[in-house]
Amino acid sequence: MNVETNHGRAAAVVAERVYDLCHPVIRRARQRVLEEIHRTAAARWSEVLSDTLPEGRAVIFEGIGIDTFKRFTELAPEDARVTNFELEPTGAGAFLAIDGALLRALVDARIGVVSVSDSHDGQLRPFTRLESVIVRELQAALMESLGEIYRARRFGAPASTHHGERLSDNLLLSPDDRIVLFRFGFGPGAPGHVITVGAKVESVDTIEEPSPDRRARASATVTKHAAALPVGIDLVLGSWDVALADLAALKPGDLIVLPEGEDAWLASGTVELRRVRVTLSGRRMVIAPMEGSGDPVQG
Amino acid sequence: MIPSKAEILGRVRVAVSASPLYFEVPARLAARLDRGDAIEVELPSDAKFMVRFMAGGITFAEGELCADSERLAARITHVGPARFGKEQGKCRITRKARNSR
Repeated sequence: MNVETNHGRAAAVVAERVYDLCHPVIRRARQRVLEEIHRTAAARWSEVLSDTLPEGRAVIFEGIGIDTFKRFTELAPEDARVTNFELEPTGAGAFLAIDGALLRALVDARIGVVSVSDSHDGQLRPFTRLESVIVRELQAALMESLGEIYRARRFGAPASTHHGERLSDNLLLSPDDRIVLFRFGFGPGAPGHVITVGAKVESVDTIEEPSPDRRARASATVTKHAAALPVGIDLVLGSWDVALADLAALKPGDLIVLPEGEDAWLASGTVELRRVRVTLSGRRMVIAPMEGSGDPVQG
Repeated sequence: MIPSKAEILGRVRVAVSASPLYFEVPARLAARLDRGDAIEVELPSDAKFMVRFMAGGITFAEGELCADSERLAARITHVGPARFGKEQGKCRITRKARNSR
């Protein structure tokens, strides 16, 4: 018996999304380095493809994302051509995926064919044997420049490179692996992400986080203004240890002789600044730092 | 045997602070006060130098500062929580000429 309830239909409409409590995060400092690396890659690819890209077009790095390899393969175009590789020395699985539509346009431009609407049913014209060679050349050229940049920036050295027809052919990544995705496009007005580089998320650990420059933080301007801030200062005339009973016995009129005004110091909050000598004369008091009082008061 | 609270506390450290002598100086100057420098404070004719007695940051008594030719002393005028607030002292800071030895 097949029974469908209202509840069941509602559940079918709402897309099920599993939320992962352990979602990996790339720290901001590393993210900035990765962005810089891939902006450089985009610029280099623009040079490599300058003969085949339409005039005025350039490869643009669009951003970083994290997803599971399974989800990425589900959402990526089926016609994408893939170069799989691993990043030495970590051996992290990685890939370079280029959309089929982009490859078709690049190949057509390379052999001087005016690009036509691909087919009536939206499918790309299959590559001929000659065109497949050009596709491999383009993939190799992009891969080579990417490898140069990765090695120079110590993100890893691409190794064991091989081309695949499908993303799921990658034997170095399993469906549940988290991958960091670097997406490239051609800017506003162009189709979406057309080149994607993906790597196992652990690969970003090889990026050395730039240490913050403390000197830069403490700029001269900040130091100058901080030094000019007013600080409230107390004059402490002395201290001594006393039993609770003696303390409780203190009463108005008692006189406490201070040790000649020499056991005094200046304090700001709980920080003792300088030992001082205090001289009192009528309504006038003079507070003078004592000899050898250059260091903060001890104990 | 468990000691009583008073025995645990034993002796306390008492500090005498000249309360009206709360003044503000730039942080740079506070850090660089040196031998030979002086802070001079002068009160209005009807004012006295008041002090507060503090233990553990809590004022338990107040008094006034008195001095003769030989000694500096504080006379207790009130026992209990602080009654007068901190007042800004009118002070003048003189720096020793750095090229004089």
